[in-house]
Amino acid sequence: MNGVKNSLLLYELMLVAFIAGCHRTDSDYATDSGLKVKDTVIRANVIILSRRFDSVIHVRQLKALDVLSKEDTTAASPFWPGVSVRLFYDNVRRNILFPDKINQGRSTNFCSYAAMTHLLIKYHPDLYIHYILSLYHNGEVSLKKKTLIPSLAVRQAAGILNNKGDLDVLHADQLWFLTLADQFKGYINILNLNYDPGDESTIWAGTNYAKFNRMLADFTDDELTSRGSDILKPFVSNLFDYISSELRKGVVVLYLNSKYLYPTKYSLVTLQAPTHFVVAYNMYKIGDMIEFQYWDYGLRTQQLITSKRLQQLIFGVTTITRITDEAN
Amino acid sequence: MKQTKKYGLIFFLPAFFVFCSDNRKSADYYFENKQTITEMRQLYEELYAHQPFSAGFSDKSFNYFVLEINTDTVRYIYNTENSWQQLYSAVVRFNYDTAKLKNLGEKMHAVKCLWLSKSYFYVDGERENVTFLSFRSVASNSKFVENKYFMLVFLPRPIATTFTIGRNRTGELVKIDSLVYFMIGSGFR
Repeated sequence: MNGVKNSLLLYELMLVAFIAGCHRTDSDYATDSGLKVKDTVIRANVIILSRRFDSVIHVRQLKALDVLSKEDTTAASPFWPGVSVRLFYDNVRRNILFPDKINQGRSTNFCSYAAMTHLLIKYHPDLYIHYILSLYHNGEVSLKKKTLIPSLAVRQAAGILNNKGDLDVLHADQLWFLTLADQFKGYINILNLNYDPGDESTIWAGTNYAKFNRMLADFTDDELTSRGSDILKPFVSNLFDYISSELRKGVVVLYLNSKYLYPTKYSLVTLQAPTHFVVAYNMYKIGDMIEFQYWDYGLRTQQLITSKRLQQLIFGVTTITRITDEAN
Repeated sequence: MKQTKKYGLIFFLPAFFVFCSDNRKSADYYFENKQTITEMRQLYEELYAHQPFSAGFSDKSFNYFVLEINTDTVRYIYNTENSWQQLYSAVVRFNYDTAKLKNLGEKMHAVKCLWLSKSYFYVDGERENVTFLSFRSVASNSKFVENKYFMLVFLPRPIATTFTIGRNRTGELVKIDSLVYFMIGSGFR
């Protein structure tokens, strides 16, 4: 029975690979050497899946750029005294054109907001432009299910964060991340609910799994399914199989322990707790190893990990589907 | 009385070791290894100009080499603990000078350099790139010292303002000369 299943799967992969042949334009992934024929077939499959929304997204991107082109890019906002008008609009334009480059900055706990924003801009740039301009001009924004009204302390801090890497000059991202951290709260923030300077790297900006999923749900009508928690790992027999199947259904965000992403044996103890959010793009097997492609810190990363490490790494798997429905 | 002395000893002995072995690297370490470090930096700059990357080791015994190659949109991480073949393929694919890369790896191994990379910060809206090398901070191999890292930071030109580097918040930067700083911190990259 398994043999029949495997044959069917291989046939399906070959069919998709055949259809995908002319779409394999991503030279970064496609020219990687040292792979067997079957691996290449699987790779072609995941590449076409990652590009399946391109045409819809392109239309939304053009719509967002059109809205931006009608803006008065010299008018400062009274709600955000520290934000430079030039840096704000430069940042918004860059975000729409290059959503992969969204960066949480250095020494911040903004990874969840960066992952959420990366997905929002990548799949719903038209919604993002509406939200960010509304926040900039009016000092507040109404989402599908919630209104965000950032506190005075946050409005005064935006634009003046420094020593945060690229975030220093990305004023729209400063305004946006600070607002999200200020307005979305989970149990993890209970000891520090109000912003004080420097709180971007404290638990004030932290995000637990439920809060992250709630944030995703509040921004769009996309459908979410999630497995996992802040303490217990997802109850699935094989994480690789599960994540691979979820990647075929939609966009996948992983809640993980970043210490296992960049493993080092310099420390005696590694805390068994989730610390980071990444967007998973591809995952497939090469021999005994798993090649994992994910997004964080404004870049895609490709690396090999073992099945054991994957098991140690993951605490939550959130899948987003229906992201291209016209209703959205 | 005997019991008190015994428990006192149990309590104070670890503390004694911690204080005695708290011998961390400082500017002296840079001066002692200046020639090797300068050669490493030179090799790194030449290889980096060809294709940006970071390199280091992932274990205490310095057996497994890690290479992170950066393109403008993708970072490829190769670790010899997982696959020598992939690392080799990447070196060929990105057309690195293998002799220089081998030489760099050997020098890093010789001075027990954990990580070699570049970082950046902004001064008045302008980006400044720096090169940094990380080592374990303890001068001895004592197990009783808190796990911290010694980071040497090289500036391209003298900078008047304060700055931080690295992905995580780390310790205070101490000036060695106008272009070289060191830092004892909790992160090594």
